[in-house]
Amino acid sequence: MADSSKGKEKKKTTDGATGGDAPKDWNPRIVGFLCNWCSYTGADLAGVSRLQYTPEFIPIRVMCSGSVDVAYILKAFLEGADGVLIGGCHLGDCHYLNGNYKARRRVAVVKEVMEGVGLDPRRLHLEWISASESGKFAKTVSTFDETLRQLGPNPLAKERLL
Amino acid sequence: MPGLRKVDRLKKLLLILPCDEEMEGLLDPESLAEEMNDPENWVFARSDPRLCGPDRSDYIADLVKETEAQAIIVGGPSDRTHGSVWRQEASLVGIPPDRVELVPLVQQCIYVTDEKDAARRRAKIMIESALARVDTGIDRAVERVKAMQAVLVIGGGVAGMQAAWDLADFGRQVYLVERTGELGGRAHQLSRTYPTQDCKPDGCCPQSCRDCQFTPRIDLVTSHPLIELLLESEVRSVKGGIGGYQIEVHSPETSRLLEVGAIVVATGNVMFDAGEMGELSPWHPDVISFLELEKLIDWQRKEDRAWEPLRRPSDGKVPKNIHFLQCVGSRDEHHGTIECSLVCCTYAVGQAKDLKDMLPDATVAIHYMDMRGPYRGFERHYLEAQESGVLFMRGRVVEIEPDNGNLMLSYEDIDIGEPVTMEADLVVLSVGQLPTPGTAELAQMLGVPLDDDGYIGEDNTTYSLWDRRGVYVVGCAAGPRGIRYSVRDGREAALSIDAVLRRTQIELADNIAEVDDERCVGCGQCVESCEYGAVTLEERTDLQTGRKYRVAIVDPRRCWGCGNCHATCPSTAIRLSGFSDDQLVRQVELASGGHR
Repeated sequence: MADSSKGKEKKKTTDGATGGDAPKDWNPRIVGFLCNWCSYTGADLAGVSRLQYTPEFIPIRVMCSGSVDVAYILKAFLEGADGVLIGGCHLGDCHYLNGNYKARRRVAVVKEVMEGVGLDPRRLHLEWISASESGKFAKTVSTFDETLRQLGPNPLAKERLL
Repeated sequence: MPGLRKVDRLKKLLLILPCDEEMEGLLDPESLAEEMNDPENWVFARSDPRLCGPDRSDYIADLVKETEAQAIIVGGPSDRTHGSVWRQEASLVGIPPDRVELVPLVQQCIYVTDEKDAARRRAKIMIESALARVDTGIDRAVERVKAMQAVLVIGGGVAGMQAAWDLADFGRQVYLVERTGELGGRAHQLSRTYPTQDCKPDGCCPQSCRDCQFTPRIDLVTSHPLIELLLESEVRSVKGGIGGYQIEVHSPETSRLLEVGAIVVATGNVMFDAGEMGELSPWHPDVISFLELEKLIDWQRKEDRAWEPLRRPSDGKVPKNIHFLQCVGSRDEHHGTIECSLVCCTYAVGQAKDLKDMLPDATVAIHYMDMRGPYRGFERHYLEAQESGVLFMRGRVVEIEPDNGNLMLSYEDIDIGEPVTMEADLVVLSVGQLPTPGTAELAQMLGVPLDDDGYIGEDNTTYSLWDRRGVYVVGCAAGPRGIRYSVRDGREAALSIDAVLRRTQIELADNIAEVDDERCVGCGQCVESCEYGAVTLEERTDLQTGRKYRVAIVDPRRCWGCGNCHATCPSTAIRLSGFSDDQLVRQVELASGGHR
């Protein structure tokens, strides 16, 4: 255990320290997988309620947070996204009984993989946002945006640009 | 996969709705449409005020004719609010529902930011994403399944009886499965129904009052030639989905396999057992539930002892102090349920008034938290009880102690704010209502979700939206409710089922999981991930080598389209129509780096 955590720490330094190097006009790009029944509707309500958040957040509608394939998350990072947000129904409130538990388990695994490849796991965020929680939706996106600003651009994107 | 082919490129009609004033200011739909218009790549973009006017359909028909469009992308409203509207609009011009995409420019773009450039960039990514979705989508032949015409009704209370009788009246074969030996359910244990003050349903009364007329009669149900009664029977297993269920019904003598097209769940609920609330001395013979009081009253009526006063169970004395306790095991965080049972206030008021009429010298009191009567006619009923001398005491009784053959009640009277003790010789508990034991197992067999409080709920979409599931929950199986609402539930379910099954072929047009046989290794992870039992493993034999192998198959009638199996599959052999890998990956590409 001690060895593995050391390894993790070592690799962490490749990501997360670049905040200062970010270009001036850089805004973190966030890919959002929103479940059809709760978070996507919450996002709709956030708009209708005139709640503002970063326009660099791009929503992708999925039927259930439990249907978000690990490959999509990794693909987003490989394509240069600075953060990935997954929005699902509250635990126990899943439209499909327990898809959000599956999402939670999957996210936990992906976070470990991210650490392994030198990506800060904070770039992946899972949040339970119900259809009526427009405020929580906007706040989640904004807080996540703030976190990503501190982390700086996705190092994978940088490599691709070079 | 048979019936599936990849759509390489479609002629896409992009409609950007200029209906929203704020959108006009920030996005300038017309110039956006101009910018997105790309006939060479088969994107035909339009933004015209006619799209928001009354002759929208004609205008769209003209556009589709002109551009030969095979898909429609709508920029403006969200799928959640306007998806069905635009899919219907598209169906008028022959475009299938899976080739309609909505881009929520109003809800998720223009209000998000004040910056014009950022909003426009975001809008463009979202539109590109939708265009890519239809281009990378997979055409799915609309699946049609044959509909069996018979219907199973589980539970023979008033709701189930009404559903069975209506369905049989429409000419359908109905199987009515009842766990006990007789029909009628709880409604038939009551002597009267309140607040209408009618006699109990199906009584031998020569008059036909309102509730009697509206309540299904047992003899009509038992004698109907199309209703087959299966008493003392239980459902053991359910296979299949809407249009074709195979149901194993077990009785002590036999086991039968029924084939039906839809299922009505009318399993009712059960009364809270006050036995766990020791402080109320529930073991005492004079502490009874309101249903036991019904039995006392009913016994007296049945045996023509109407001239005799009611006697209490313990020693047969005529009670002089009768106290009703409301909310026992309901609206309680520690016992029973925190939910209100909806009927007990109405019922207790009615019973109290009847007892007061029967025993004018007795003290009849109701201890309540709030008077709740969600029925028409309740207020008058309540007022009549007050006028007849029933006492209403606000406060919760915390203890009942036996005392010299009588009972001592301790409670805090909220109106005077002091603890009070009071003597009673008969206590009636208005107990809460809980889901019937076995509800969770039944829900699992049927592949439908449970509510927070353990009912096969009415607020899940099983009932309202997705009649393709073929499971209809009526009466108290969906939560506590009065007789008239239960009966109405049964009738409503019968009408819905008849409308669905009448088509004989049922279209399954929603998102459904599909298995690629060549990729499937038969590991079975998808089977575990499916909460609805829609995925099963099938054993097959390779014709050339004779070797046996397993492959996953999806029952489209049981699939809810969540896509959990797709995300679980390690060999990407299952996909969800409308959310295929090609589509999502393209969307992710556009969303991740489109601006760089």
